[in-house]
Amino acid sequence: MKSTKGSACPVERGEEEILLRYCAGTLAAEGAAQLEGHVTSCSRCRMWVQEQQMVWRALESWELEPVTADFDAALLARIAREKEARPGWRGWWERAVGAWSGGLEWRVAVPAAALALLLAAGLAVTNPFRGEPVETAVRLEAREIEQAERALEDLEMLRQLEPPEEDKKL
Amino acid sequence: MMAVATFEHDAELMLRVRDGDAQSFSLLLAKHRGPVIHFLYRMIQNQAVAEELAQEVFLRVYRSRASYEPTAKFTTWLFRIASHVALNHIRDGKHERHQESLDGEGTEGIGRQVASRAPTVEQEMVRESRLAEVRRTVESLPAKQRAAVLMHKYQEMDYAQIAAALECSESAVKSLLFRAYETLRAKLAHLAGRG
Amino acid sequence: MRLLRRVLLLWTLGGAAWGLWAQPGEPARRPHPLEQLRRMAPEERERVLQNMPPERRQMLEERLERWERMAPRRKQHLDGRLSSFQQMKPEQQQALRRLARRFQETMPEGKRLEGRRALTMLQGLDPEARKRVLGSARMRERFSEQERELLREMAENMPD
Repeated sequence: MKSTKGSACPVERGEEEILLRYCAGTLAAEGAAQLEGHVTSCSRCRMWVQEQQMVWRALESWELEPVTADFDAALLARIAREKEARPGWRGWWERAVGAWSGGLEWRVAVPAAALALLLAAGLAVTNPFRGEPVETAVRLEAREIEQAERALEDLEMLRQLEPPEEDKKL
Repeated sequence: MMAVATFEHDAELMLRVRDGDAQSFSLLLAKHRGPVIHFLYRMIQNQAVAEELAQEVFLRVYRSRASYEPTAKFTTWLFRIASHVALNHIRDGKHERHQESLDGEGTEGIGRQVASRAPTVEQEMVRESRLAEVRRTVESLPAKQRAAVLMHKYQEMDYAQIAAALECSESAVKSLLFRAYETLRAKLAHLAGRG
Repeated sequence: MRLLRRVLLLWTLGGAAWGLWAQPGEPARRPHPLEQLRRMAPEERERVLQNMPPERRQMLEERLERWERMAPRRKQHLDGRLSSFQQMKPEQQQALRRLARRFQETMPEGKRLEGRRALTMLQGLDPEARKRVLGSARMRERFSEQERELLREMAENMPD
């Protein structure tokens, strides 16, 4: 343990975390001013801060590419497809899985659902209307339209990457 | 730092999404799409995969709308999902196959940054090599440390938020950050001496 | 409250499972949706597309029309390319889409046709030959380093 009783030096006290907050600019003004006074006079802290600031600047230099233009369109199309497919089993399942990422009380909910499923299965077996057609055609078509749109976009992209027709002598 | 007003605004938008308002989802998407993709890109270091994963993140947000409760900051909740998606992707070992080259060749992102500032050939080379080093060093961090640093540095999230996003304690976050920055200082501090 | 909602959600999941159980099975294999759209009679297509947002619908119809206007052999050729593309991994598909966008955005308009021709030629080469060609004086004269790099990446990522 590096801790040195009574020392004002964060490095000596093993409290570099305060230096990190100082570098990140998240220390309260008073604390920051106090620390700044120490940092100017303490070579170890000065070195620590300089190195951390260097890391900071290096990370800041890491600029990124812009997001591709059709990101939102692609996402909204996927969502539209899911909405149109609802309340198909997959929509429900994905929703349940999605909710899992923020889930808490599943230990109780899952057995309850299992019971519900068991009941549903039992009902299904004895269901006199089993086999009755369910109206899915329109929803299915909507989902398929999304696939067709995507395929047409890809086809267009491939077409634009090839020389024009007259070149191809097709 | 996120202002309280922003917190309330995001949560309010998400509650409207829960009530079926598509416009509010578009607003949330417009605001958070960039930070989420950039976080995922820095985690995975492949733009195409980062965008695919970001789609997954926002799909999960949308699918979870019915169960959404504004118990935490929206950004914390969002980055919890993003971290989950990124860490799962890394855990499954999918990212090694997709990483874009770090050796100068094929570093399109870097090339594009350089081109926009029209530096001399020498400056360009120095800048390229520095960026490649930053990327390589960040990539060398264990995934959870990497996630913590990226949220701390680029999203300016505090320890409590990072802890909530990574589903660990605040002291664990302090330890993750401390170890990560120690590695980064050891590997990157020398860049100070290079222009 | 949230717990109750989740129980209800999963209860309904049971209901959905029941619905699925009662549903008649799907046919084993159906043509790709694009193929189905192409084969539809105009009035049938009209009915299927009627609920689409107007902008998306217009775009889709324009693209379908463009395809319909193509010469039969060209159609066949592009369909083959699309089929190969669809067999690529999703991340490879996404990478090519991104490269294609970069090509459209960064390749000067006057060079695009030449770029498309070069790309077709590069696709047919093995990596070593591709590197040699891209490094040749002729290519260096015509394309900048970044443009050549883009062409190399695209040639590597194009479907067979």
